[in-house]
Amino acid sequence: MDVPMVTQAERFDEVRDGEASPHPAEVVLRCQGLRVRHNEEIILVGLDLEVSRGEVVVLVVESEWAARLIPRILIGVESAEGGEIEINGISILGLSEHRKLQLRRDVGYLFHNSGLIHNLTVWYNVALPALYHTRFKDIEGVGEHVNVLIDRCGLSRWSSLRPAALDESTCKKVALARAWVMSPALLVLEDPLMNIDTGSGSDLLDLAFGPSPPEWEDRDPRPPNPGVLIASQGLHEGLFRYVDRMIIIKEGEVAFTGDPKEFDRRGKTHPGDLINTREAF
Amino acid sequence: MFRLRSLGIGYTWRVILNQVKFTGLHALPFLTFVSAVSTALIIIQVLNQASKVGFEAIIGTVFVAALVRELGPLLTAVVVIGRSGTAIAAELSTNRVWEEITALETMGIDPLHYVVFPRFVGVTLATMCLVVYFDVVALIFGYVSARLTTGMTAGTYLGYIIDQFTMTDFYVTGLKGFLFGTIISLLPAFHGLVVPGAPTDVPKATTRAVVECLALVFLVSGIVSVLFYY
Repeated sequence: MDVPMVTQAERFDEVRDGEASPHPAEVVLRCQGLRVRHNEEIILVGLDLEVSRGEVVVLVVESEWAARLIPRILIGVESAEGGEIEINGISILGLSEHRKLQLRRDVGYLFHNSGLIHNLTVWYNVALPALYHTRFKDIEGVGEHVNVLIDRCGLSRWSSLRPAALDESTCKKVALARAWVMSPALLVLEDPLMNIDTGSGSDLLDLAFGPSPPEWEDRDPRPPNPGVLIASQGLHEGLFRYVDRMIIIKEGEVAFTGDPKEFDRRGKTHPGDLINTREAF
Repeated sequence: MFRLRSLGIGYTWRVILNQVKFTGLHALPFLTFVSAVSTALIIIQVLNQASKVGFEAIIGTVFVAALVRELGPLLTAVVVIGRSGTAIAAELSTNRVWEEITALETMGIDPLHYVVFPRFVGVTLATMCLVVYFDVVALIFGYVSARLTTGMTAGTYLGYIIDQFTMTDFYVTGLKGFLFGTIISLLPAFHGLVVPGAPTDVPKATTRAVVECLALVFLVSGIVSVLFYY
């Protein structure tokens, strides 16, 4: 899609004046010509990317650093060397820190190491963004929503414990519930399968992207139809079931973009071949 | 328009209350001990000498000039630095190392508002109250010491102190409590938040925060005293 970028001032003015809804765009994340460098290492030389509502996009990169840095740049926590980034139709280039914080209320983010607050219990970790961003008069509804979300993620029996008492895969589920609590239009997952075994990884992905179990069909608290970006170091087979589009970055450049199923048509035995061997390109 | 939502005040007040509880309430036993011992030592030493020449009235001057104006706020600040200053620096630098601060930013939560502001309000409020509490404990244990040393009556003891106490002492005590609270909350928070990201930087940040807090508190105490009393 070739839609011109809207400046953040124009977009905020439209939202403020009621001319536009906060989530008008089908495209929830867009970047153009993104250039990233870390410690003199070139990580990206010009990435063009769009994530639409309901779409799951995986960005496969070579290094752990890249898998952490790129998603953080895309939501404006870190700075890029160059390029344009737009979240929910608002360009974050030159946006003040306060405006960026406002914009990130509608973004759910999962850290590679969960990023939980260690002096809060599981319940408060999940509730924190909602408690912080909710008006006094509406705060009673937060508790019920958090309870349902915790129940949906199978965390009820851990809810009064602190993160130090949990294993890594449970921490990731807590972090996922926290990322969902504001019902974001955009969900960004930073190396979600890092440090957890294959079985736990499958559980996490089923929870994140799988169909609702029968008992939750009518009341699933997961955000409806968010756009999802997953940054991953290397390819994980588990991801393939749920990914709509895959972008592989090799030496800073896009080496492949498209449906993961296309690999078979290109005669590769395994998609991992693409990232692991130079000849594959 | 003033918006509670944009300030996130619905949740932050809990953090402020926790900070007041930790810095103020939990410090009371130790501060009581420090205040009682330091007051008893000073009053006994002074009265031992003064009673030989029949000049017990000097106890009022010593109590107000040494304890209320100088030692009270300073010793309170030292106790708060030892407990809360170190805790803030260590906690925030650990938060930074574990990327909890970055996690707050990804949630749209301003770390300055969620982490620093409650500590500033909590520590400052608690320090101001603790300075007053130190003086009250000093007053009680000063009397006990005077009674045991010279058999002084409560009326005489209070009379000597009230003669020396002015409203300036009241304002200066409050001002010092406010300034010390500000230093003890903001300086360790700053050192905690600028930690580069390695666990070995946590003790360094804590040490730096404590040393700078102590130096600044003594300096500010001196400046305030010079401005108001000389």
